[in-house]
Amino acid sequence: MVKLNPAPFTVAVAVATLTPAASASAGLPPRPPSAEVFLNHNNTLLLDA
Amino acid sequence: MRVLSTPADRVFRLQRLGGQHRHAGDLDGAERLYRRALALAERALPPDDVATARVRINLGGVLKYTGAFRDAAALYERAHAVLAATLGPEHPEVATVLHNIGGLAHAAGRPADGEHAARRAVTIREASPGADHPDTAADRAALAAILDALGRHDEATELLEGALAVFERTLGPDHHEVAVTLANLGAIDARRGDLNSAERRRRRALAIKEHTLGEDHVELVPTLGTLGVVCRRAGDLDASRGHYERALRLLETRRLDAHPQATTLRANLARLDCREVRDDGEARRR
Repeated sequence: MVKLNPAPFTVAVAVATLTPAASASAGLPPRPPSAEVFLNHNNTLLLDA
Repeated sequence: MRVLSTPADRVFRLQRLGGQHRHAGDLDGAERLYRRALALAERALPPDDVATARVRINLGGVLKYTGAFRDAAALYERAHAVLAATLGPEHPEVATVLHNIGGLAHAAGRPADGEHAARRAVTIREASPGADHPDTAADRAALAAILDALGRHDEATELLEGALAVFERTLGPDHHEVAVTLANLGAIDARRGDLNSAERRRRRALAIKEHTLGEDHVELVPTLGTLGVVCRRAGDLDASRGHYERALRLLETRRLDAHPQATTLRANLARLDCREVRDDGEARRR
């Protein structure tokens, strides 16, 4: 009898469900080189003093 | 279909999904996925695993954007300890976490606390992968924002202009890095009273961000907010109010009302409501 391990299927379903539809076109462009870890951006927001 | 057979694979996939949500501006979704990745990594991988440290860095990055600065700092410190011990203190990945530690202090309104880490990141990455790499340029741009916040505008300008040249040459003229760098140069222009250059750079930055991220992305907030200040100082109070209110909506729809950026935007709106500012604006238009 073939015994199925449910874990891979659970992850595959999660992958299909959670991928945002707009991520490819509306997201940040890929960072070089591997992009596994993100460098944060330091954005300046002026206080109108 | 490739079967995700190991915990390391699943951590990697969750991380990548988290990155996609973060890129799309869905901070809640990104945080949820990174937390799942971290829980799995802490359960299944060795305590000093580099993959776990990477998850901590990415989760810390999202928490910076949501204003959970203390939690982000703890994640970064733990990641830094593991990466420095495992890869060595001069490794480029150590530079990445130092870059983010500096940025966290900047976002939390404590720029002086971030200068040392930001400078270390530049020094490490200039040695490898080298001064002309876009990651090294990103380190210099991040340090520049810290120096700008500390009032060292000349040094900040020099770093930003050097970084901008690298980004435009290596990534192209319409890349997000170009937009962030232009926006920060525009903020320095505004501090110096050069409103024409400030508005030109900020508008170009906004156009790039809207094109690459969409019009409802949270990354637009600081660009819109500073553009509002430039418009107010140029006497265009209606445009200024429009930019502030749009930026605030982007934060409020993500329940980020208590974020320091929201506080700054509300203070700028309050200033716009002052009679003195209204009178000044009317005088400029005449």
